[in-house]
Amino acid sequence: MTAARQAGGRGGRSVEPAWLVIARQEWRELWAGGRGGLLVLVFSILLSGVTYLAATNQVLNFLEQREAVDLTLQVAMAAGVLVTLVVSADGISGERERGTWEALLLTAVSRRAIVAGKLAGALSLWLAAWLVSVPYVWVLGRGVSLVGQALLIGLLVGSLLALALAGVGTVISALCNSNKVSVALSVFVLVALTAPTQLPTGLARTWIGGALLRVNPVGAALHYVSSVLVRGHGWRQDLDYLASPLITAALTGAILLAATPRLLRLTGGLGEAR
Amino acid sequence: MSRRPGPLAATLLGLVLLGLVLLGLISAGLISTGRGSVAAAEPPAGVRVLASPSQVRTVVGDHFSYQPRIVNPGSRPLDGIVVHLNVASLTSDVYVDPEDWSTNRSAVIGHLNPGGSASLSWDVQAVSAGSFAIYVVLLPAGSAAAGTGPLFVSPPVHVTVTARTTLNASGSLPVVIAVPGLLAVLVAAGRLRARHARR
Repeated sequence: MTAARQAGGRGGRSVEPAWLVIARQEWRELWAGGRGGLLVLVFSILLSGVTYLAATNQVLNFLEQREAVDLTLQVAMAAGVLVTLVVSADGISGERERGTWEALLLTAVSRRAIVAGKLAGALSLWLAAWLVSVPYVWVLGRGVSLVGQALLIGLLVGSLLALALAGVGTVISALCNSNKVSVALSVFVLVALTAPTQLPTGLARTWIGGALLRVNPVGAALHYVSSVLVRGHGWRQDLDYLASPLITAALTGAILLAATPRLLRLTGGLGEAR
Repeated sequence: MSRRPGPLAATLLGLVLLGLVLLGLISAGLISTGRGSVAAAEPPAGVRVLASPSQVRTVVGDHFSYQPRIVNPGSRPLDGIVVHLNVASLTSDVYVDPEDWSTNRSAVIGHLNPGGSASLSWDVQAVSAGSFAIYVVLLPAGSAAAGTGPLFVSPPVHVTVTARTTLNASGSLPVVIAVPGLLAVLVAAGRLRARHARR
């Protein structure tokens, strides 16, 4: 609602791009409202648990230090992407449910700028999650000179994955009038994408297992990170694994760009699932 | 006066006929004498395995490559050679589960011409510290010699794995406690500030 007032008040005369106005408002609601801080706090508790186990548990501690860094980074990426997805899934359906969507649409801000602003808001959570993971990666990887590489690859691949899944969450959110449906559907998508990473190792060597791994953006991105950090592959050696997150990001971007005017429209009534 | 065959001649004739039938069945493969399968499993003379590297020194957790080369110096081709990787500890106090060292331990060489060779490569991870031997076992006749021997064993490659300093609780504890603690303080402060602002 505040976003509607700000963007509308400034109208087309604003020096700031319209998407930035929306993004600022999203950041304020997320961080000053306390929701983002709480999510990051839970995220850090999860990473603390994983790091402590990797450092002390006899079963995990036998792992090589690079594998411990990889394990922590993968958990950080998966959980960071999850919170980003949940926030983006709340972006449009949440406004509809709170009754502020109509006011936002009536401002002079274009619908594409609204979507871009909301995506930027959701992605700020991923960046915060990455910042929080820095000390954990540092404490596990300092002995093997892996900290810089792990943090850089985590930032690049994680940002690509977060962008792709934030796009998926925003499309789902635009399609649903109910926030519950939108968030539940988005979490289900993430669980479905993460499930193939738990398949037996033997299956991954078959063509169907390999194809499943490459098609799945989450599994493929995590596999790429492991290839570089644990197996010592060069950054360019397994780049093809990043095709699926890249295609997902491009596809959702294209959908949002092309279909935003039709997806983001005023609908009568609240909580009406389409 | 014609002479009729006596009982001895009839028995001999019967035995000859029976022998001919048995020979026919054996040659058709319907009856196994046992000799044939042993012959099939007989190792081709002079199959050799050249292992590379000759020895390995590494630390726990590191990966190394084990590359045996199977050579067929004989005069006949070999088909379906099964090559199986194995790891053994040279000390009694270290337990070895070869599956942990390499998840894909068997390879099949489809065809090896006389004088030809085939190179294999395994990515092996050193899982425990200690002294180990890594080698391959060859089943030269593959599935044709199922259940029978003998086998070929390659010369072992000596692998020395040294321990590395693992992570410890004291190193990670400050971060594990401090980060959520700091974030909890920030979240609480933000909530208090928001409450004051509302008043």
